[in-house]
Amino acid sequence: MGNDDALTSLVHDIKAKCANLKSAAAMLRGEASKEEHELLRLMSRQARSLADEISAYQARRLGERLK
Amino acid sequence: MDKLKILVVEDDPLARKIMEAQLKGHDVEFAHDAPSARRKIASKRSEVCFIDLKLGDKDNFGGLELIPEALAAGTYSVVMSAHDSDKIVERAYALGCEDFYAKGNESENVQAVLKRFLRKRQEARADRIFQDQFVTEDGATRAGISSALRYAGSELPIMILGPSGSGKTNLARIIHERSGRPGQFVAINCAAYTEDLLEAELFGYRKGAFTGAADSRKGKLLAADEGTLFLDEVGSMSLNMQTKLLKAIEEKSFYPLGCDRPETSRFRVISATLEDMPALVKAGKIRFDFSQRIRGLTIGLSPLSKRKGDILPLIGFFTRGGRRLSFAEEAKRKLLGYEWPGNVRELRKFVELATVGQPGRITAEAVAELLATARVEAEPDEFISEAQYRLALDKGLDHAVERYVDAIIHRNLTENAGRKTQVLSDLKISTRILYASSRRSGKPEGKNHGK
Repeated sequence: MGNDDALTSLVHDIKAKCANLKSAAAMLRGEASKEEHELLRLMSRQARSLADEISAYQARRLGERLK
Repeated sequence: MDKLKILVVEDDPLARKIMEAQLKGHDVEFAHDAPSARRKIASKRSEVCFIDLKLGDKDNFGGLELIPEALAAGTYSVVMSAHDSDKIVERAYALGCEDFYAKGNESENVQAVLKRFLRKRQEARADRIFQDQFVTEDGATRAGISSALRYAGSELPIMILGPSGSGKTNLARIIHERSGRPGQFVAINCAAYTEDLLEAELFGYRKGAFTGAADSRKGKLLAADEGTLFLDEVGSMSLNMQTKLLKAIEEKSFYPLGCDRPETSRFRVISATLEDMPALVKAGKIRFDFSQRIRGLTIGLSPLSKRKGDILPLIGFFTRGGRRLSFAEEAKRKLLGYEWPGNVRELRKFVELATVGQPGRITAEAVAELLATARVEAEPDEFISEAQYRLALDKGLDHAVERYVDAIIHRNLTENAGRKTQVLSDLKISTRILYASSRRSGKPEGKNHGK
């Protein structure tokens, strides 16, 4: 995967995952505690996977510069 | 909103959770990957399919391939993706998706998609009506009927205006069929009854309520409980009858003749007339409050002469599944040039005559011959013929009534070989009426007719 493709993929994932986080956060209002717990768990997992993707991209860029 | 069968193709568990919340109340199933989506699409169970384009971290927009499959299964397919570059959006629409929404505002977007789907489904159903039940290509007629169908499921009374034979009863029945009301469609032609008989027909009666009431009988109001009561030729109803019916409509209960206990009936009223309602109210023939009660929504049906584009499609419709007809160019011109005073009813009669008695290829001469017969034969279904109605308009009602009386007396005299006593008994008329008719017809009073 070239850098352009990697960046395109990252942009897509950030947009998709942030959109999901935003919609999920809006749903937290008025949710029963069990549902709220499940939603928060999924949101945290989404946020972590996003952070992982950003880190992976950063590592990839660093690697390219060191070449 | 109707409960819809929806498939959501989405790999992300959080996005699935969000869609689940947005689609609460519908019958929703999920597919996490392309193979499972394919199986579910192929089952043709879903009416709407939401497709995420990227199914998995390494997927290269595999969701796009699902769009034509959903289309082939007759499913309304919607893409919801964060990947909304022009190139991707264009590709998705080219593959046949109906809607494309960027992720991030699901609470509004999902509802907008479902509304669009329902509107489209309703329009498709309406289109089928114009091909299968009320055949018309006339824009104004289609618009009027579509508007009426939007209120089919409501309690709103509907008034259908249109000349005889233009399809008023057919339209009333279609509205009833679309209403979702569990009861029956009950039609009555108010012009075909005297006031007493109409009251008995509408309200029903108990055995012995009047001379001749040998058995109790359920009236039309009760028969239409939870259904639709169609009052054809409502303009001919007497003021007294209007008062009684208005009370029954408003109170949803009434007393059958000879009964001291009320009956309850929750019927919806659709009425029809070929006359101008405001003019009838102004002339004091229709009570204002009654007219207000039965005129929730008014639809006008044009005579066939004003929608000649419907003539050939209607002929195609009447011969569907049977003997098909073909018309020579000159024959078509004759059909389209004719005024069709009996409207669709006359056209149907024309087609019946043509399919039975003519070669499949109809010539202009055959059209002329058939039109003359169809006009005569299309009329007896109506209480008054188009010709009689036109005569009343032209020469006045008194003159038309005299002609009507004379024709009936003459026919009965002929059938009774000129025996006047039998005519007086058959028609329950006085000698004064019989002699007045004889004088008008120029027949000597002392001589027998029909010999």
